[in-house]
Amino acid sequence: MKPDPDTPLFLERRGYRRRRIIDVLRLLPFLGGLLFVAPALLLPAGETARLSLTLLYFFGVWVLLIFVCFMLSRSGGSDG
Amino acid sequence: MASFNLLVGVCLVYVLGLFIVAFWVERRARRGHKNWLRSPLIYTLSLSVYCTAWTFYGAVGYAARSGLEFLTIYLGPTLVFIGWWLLLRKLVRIGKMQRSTSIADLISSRFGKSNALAVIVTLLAVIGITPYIALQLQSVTLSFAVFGDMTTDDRGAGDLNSTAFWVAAGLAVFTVIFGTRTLDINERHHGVVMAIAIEAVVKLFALLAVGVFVVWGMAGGLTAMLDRIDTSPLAEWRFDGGRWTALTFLSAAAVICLPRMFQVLVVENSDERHLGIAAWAFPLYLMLMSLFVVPIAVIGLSLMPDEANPDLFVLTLPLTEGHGSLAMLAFLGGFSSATSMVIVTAIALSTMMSNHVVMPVWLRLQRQGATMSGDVRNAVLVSRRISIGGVLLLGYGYFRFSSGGEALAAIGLISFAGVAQVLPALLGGIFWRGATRWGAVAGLLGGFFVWAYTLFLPSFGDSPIMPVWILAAGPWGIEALRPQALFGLDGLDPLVHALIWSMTVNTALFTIFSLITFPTPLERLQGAQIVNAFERSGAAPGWVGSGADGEDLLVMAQRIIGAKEAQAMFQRAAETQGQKGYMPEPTPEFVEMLERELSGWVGAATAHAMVAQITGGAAVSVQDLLAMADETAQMREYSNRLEVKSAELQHAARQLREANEKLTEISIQKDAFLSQISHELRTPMTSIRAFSEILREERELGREDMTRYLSIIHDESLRLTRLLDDLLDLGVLENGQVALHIQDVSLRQVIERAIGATGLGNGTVDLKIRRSPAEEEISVRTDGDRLSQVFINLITNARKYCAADQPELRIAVQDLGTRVIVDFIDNGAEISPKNQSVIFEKFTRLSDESTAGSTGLGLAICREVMTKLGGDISYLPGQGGAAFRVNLPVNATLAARQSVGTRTGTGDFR
Repeated sequence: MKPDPDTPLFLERRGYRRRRIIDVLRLLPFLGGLLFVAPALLLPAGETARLSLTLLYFFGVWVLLIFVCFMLSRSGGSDG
Repeated sequence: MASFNLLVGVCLVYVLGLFIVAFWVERRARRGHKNWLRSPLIYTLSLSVYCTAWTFYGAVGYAARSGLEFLTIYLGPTLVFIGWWLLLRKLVRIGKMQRSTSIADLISSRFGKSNALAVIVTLLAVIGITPYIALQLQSVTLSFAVFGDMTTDDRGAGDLNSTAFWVAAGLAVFTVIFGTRTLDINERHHGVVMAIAIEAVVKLFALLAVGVFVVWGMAGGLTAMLDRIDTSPLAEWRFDGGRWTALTFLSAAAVICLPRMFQVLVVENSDERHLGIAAWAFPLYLMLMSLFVVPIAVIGLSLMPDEANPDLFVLTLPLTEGHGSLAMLAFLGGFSSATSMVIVTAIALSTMMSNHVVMPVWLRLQRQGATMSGDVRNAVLVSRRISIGGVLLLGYGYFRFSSGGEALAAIGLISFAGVAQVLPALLGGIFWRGATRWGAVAGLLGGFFVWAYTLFLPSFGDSPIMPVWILAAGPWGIEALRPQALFGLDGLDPLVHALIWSMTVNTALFTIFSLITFPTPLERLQGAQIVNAFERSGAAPGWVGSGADGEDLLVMAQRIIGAKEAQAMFQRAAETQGQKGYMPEPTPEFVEMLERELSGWVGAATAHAMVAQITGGAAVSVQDLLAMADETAQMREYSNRLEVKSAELQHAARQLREANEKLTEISIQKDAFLSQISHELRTPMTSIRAFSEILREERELGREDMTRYLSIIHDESLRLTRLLDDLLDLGVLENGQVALHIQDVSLRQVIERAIGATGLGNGTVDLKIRRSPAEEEISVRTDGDRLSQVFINLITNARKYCAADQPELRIAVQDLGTRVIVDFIDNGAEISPKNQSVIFEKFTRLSDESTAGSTGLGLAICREVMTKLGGDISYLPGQGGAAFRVNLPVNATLAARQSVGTRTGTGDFR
């Protein structure tokens, strides 16, 4: 791709940090997908952990993702 | 205990409350008070139309039947939302950019504003969503029935069908009133959105209340609840990896593709920044909605009789425990879920049907086309109202026809799989410029057909369309075509099976047809705009050289958006074009803008068709596209050239600045020269005047004195003459008007002539000259007279200024092949470095004593002569005395020709 003459090649520190936060924001759904699907695919068929623990695992991951997204969206992607 | 009548009364009061809120909000919005209506909180809450009655009632039933699988329905959307930067951000941007009124509109816009494509998406959505609407009616009806059963009201359960009918009719009225009040810009419905947001709060609060009651009121706390979960029948549930993954994917696809989600997510979005907040707030809402699903299911299974419908545990648990008000709250929650879903879906579907099916047909039936008089707005409103009625009637019809299927969840998933068929065309359209309309059509139709064959039709059970024997043996007994085991893919869950086949066929057809077909120019234009939504904010005009008549455009716009609004819009456009009045020039940009505005009311395809009628279909062609690309290239080329030119200009400016500095310097020198020359002329003149005055005034002068004075006058006139001669000489030399007599001369002869001319030849005078005549035997092609003039000057200088006791001048000659060097070195004092730089300047005299007869121009003349002869003269330091080096070419004509370029360089000595 040809470099756009209007956008600078290197950014100052704040802009750089913001780009990296957006990178994490982009990766987040893939991490979430992995964590959500992993128990279903990795647990041997017919076996399962205690249902209450499984339930706690899913809600734990859920809250974690929401929290991370909240922090990232607030500090990085807020200006759309 | 709540009686049936009380229930109906509460419902009516509740709906009336929503009515008032929606009405009040609409009024505020019309007055321009929109600030808090556009808050991210309202936006997030409005997204909760994703959670329908299926969620509210069905999730518990789903959990009771299939354990944790219900979670997938929320996990998929969670992933889509926390990954908002990847997809939703772009979707919202494109939706706003293209003024999309629905998902069908967006897809049609992307693929060259093709109405056929919009019709396909619309039909697909209607067929896929109708069962879903039926599901909502069923859930409301069932919840009514629950209260009917529980109470000993004389009306009993009432007629289920009539309940469903009245619910559908009531919803239709509400939707018509608030969904089609006006053809608001960008299809934004403030009143409805506010009502939906309130319902979102009600359903969340209701479900949380029931959950808290179940966990702390019935199970006895959190740890006790966890124990009961582990000992319940649900604990027997095992992961099905394939189904789990497929369902997560399906729900993620559905949250993007469902028409009602598109409506609240994109169309009703007023500020893109709200998405950044909804990105975490909406998953939080979903998480809270599903927090108590498992506890309610577990307690319900353990307490309720076996034949109880687990789909209604949310309602029946508080009711059997005797908490009538809590049950009422739960009922309102379920009612809210169902109504908000039906309202938004009806708005979304009716917009699609009206814009893409009814209006195009109606416009075609109107013979005069788009320019005829009359108000199209009423037609659009009526068609939309009829569409809303139609959608709800379809839902009701499906409800009657299916006579209330048992598991709510199954219908919901079938519906999800249906609308998910839009996904490849949507994602491909947004991210891939190579996607074409034929690809989209093929993918949609193929995927839709497979979905209908493998999932939708079998869901009716044993029906005339698909009897059981086809399921078992395949049509015409072909086993490979069994709907739930296509091509031997047996043993899979029917949903996973249908999903795999439909998505594979869909994506494959979409890709292949996109690759082998060629897009129309408008498609390519739209594709470039949509795929590069963030890179390019300025849109390329889709109309070129339009032959549109401004008046026709105004007439059309007035009919669609109303006379006042259209006139205001045209006036604004005229103002931006710098004109007065209501009639802007129909430039391509204006026509483009107008089409975009209109598409916010009637959809992209219809707006395009209407504008095309007026402009005579002068839409963009391949040549125009190429020309546009060419123009860009030309602009770039032009700017490059400008850059080069500006660099050249800078260079020239620098040179000019330097020349100017030099000129200033020369001017200063000239002034100095003038003042000096007046001084030089004045000195002899003064003495001449003085002595001649003496001669005139003094009568008694002796003859001796007279002779002395006269000789002084004579000497001074000679000096004056010499000075003027020298000046003339210098002037001639500097102006380059000198004629040289170039001929072959012997260097030795020239030197001898010079010595002779100074009167030193006999050796009797004070200055002794040392030479080596052998070295001087060089033939030089030059002007001998001028050269000897230089030599004479140097020898005279040595004679005048050499302060040694026994003055001696050495003349050394070196032959360098093409050049000859002649050094004149005396044994007097050296010239100080400071003076070395000025001795060649005019009127430079280093000492004042022996100035008699010196004009101070000698060396300056020498330098000019040498320059003319193609050589130079310079001071040679470090020789133990004053030393001058004369450097001259062997062939002056040759050297003069070669040194043309360097002449100005030599002139820098001045």
